[in-house]
Amino acid sequence: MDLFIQGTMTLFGSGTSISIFFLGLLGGMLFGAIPGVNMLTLGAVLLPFTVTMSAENAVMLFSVIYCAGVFGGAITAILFNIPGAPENAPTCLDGYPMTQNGQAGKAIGAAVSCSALGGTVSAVVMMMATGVVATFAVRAFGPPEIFALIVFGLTVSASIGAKSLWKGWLSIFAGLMIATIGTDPIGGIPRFSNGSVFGFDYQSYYMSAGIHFIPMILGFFAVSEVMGQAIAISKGKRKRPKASIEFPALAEFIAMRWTIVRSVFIGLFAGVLPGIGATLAAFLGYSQARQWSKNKDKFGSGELEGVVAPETANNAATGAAMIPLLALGLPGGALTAMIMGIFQIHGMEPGPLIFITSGDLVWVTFAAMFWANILILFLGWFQTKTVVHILRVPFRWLAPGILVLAIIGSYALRNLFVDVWIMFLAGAVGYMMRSTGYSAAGVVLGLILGGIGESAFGKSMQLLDYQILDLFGRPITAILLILSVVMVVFSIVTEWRNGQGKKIQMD
Amino acid sequence: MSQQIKVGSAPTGLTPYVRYIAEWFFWIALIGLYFQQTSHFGDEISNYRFGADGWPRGIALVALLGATFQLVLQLHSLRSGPPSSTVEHVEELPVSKKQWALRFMIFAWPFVFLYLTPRLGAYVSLPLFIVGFLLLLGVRKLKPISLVLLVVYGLTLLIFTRFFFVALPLGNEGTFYDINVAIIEFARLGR
Repeated sequence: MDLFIQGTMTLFGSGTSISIFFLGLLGGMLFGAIPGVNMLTLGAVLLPFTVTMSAENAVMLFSVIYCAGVFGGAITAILFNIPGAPENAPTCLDGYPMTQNGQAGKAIGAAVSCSALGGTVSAVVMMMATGVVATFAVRAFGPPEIFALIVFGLTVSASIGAKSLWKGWLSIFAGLMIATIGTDPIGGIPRFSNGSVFGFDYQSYYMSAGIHFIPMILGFFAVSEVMGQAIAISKGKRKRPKASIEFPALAEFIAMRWTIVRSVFIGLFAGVLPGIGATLAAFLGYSQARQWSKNKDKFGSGELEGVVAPETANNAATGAAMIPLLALGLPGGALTAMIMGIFQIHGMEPGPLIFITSGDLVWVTFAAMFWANILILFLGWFQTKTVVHILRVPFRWLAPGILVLAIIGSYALRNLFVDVWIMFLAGAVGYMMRSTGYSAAGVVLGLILGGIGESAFGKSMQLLDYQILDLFGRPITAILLILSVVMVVFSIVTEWRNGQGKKIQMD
Repeated sequence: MSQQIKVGSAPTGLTPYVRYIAEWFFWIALIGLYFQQTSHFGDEISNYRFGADGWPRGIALVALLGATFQLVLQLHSLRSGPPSSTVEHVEELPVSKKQWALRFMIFAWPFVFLYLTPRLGAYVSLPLFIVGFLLLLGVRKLKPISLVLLVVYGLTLLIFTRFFFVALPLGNEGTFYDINVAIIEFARLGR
């Protein structure tokens, strides 16, 4: 506790530190909320300037950006169906219908509160158990376990946003297929960059870089939504959503306590594993909330739990993601890799010795993340009362701005115009998928996890000398794979029985 | 998606049986094409026995099973009774040719922008895109068009060109290239 107070005193001990803290907080929220221009963009822009900062301020700035950035993406997901970052994609599924139902304030309020709660708990866990958790997670989770976890994650998330289980599965397979475009993660062989289709030869060096998930997300969510609304306007059927600023009642949070607790655990678990992070946490949080909910049929049409679960889980993953970085020097994602870079710039090496050699710095980081999450609650409350009023602007006026942001967001990612093409094509496909019951969220999940899954599978096979059945010789892998199989069989049987039940009713 | 939208009767004019079979054929064609393309990178990798095509082919086979299972279950469900659907089918008023043209243009306009941008440059094509989209959405008054253009284009120049130096395409037509460069100079240097 003394170390935490000391870290807090250092954090708020000088005007410079306080300014950097608040700039990081506001910048993270803002960049998280602008599609395509996420917290990584801000991090990349600011990284060179950290050379001139003190190590404490530099690490604190990036820790705060990390917490605030993950939360910021929820705002546009809820208001416009545009996730600011991949980890906010499941928030769209119920957040946006809530906006359409005139409950935008409630959705944003719940996202704010639960992001802050998830992040704070995660920060506390990080303070208490960094060494123990990191050692366990990294020793117990090798490539086979990561592969099994991804299979499990895909299995439980299969039906998210889809009309039926099989449409959900096919959406995920489509995402997995798209993820294979580009360079093979094991041998570095370019795939789908040249060949011939029906006698027509093609060659594209763009394809060697693969299809990035950001243009796909912007296309599936933002562009298809704008197109859908534009068509509704052309039919004269679009109703402007009511801009309510109603905050969720305490009783509603209490009623969802188990969803929140479950999502915190999911976030902590997924966040601590290098490379898995907040995206899988958010999808797992959402699918588990639906699985256990009494109102599972209402998911997808504006259920508050559908906002609470992913937002709690993705923020709970932020603190957890710092655990392997600080304790073992293993960054789990791009922003934590930048933080590791800052440590190295300032002549420090994250790892077990960091607590001895730079204990003060570690506790400033802990304190910064803790207070950032507390302040997200207050700033988020203020944001709820103000940002919802954007809905009063006619959609006709907002639509070009949304599309321009999406265009620049997808282009700026890699300076490739082909990404903008991909975004608009994904928008058109996403519009068709909505009317045929397939899941855009499923495609995105398959696309994001496909590369990690293939890499983990390849390493596992090399490790196990290509004996696939040896995967079952590792306890965690075996449990996760068996649970995945059980989940698939259970889902098939349930779907089959639903068909039989209908037949009996008809008879 | 669970965020279902209402669709008219026109696209569902086919019987459910034909629709399910057509859907299966679509998946089979897609998976077949994908599988066939994997032969272009099927060479052996010295340190990895499954090669670069092993994982994609595995996914293709599982997807094939998925599509077939879906068909079987859909046909099974069809035998059990009328298809259940969360997609709400509603009778729609006849759509005039003008409305069809408008809908087509809403989808086509971004692709026109994509075609023009490498030629005209983004700094010229973006205002055209904004104004065109506003017109397609039925905004006809000069004041809102000017206001939206000013805010969206102005903020784009300020945030992405002045502060973040996002290098948007400058166009490959001489005159337009010069115009794009002049706009960037104005945004960055104020002259």
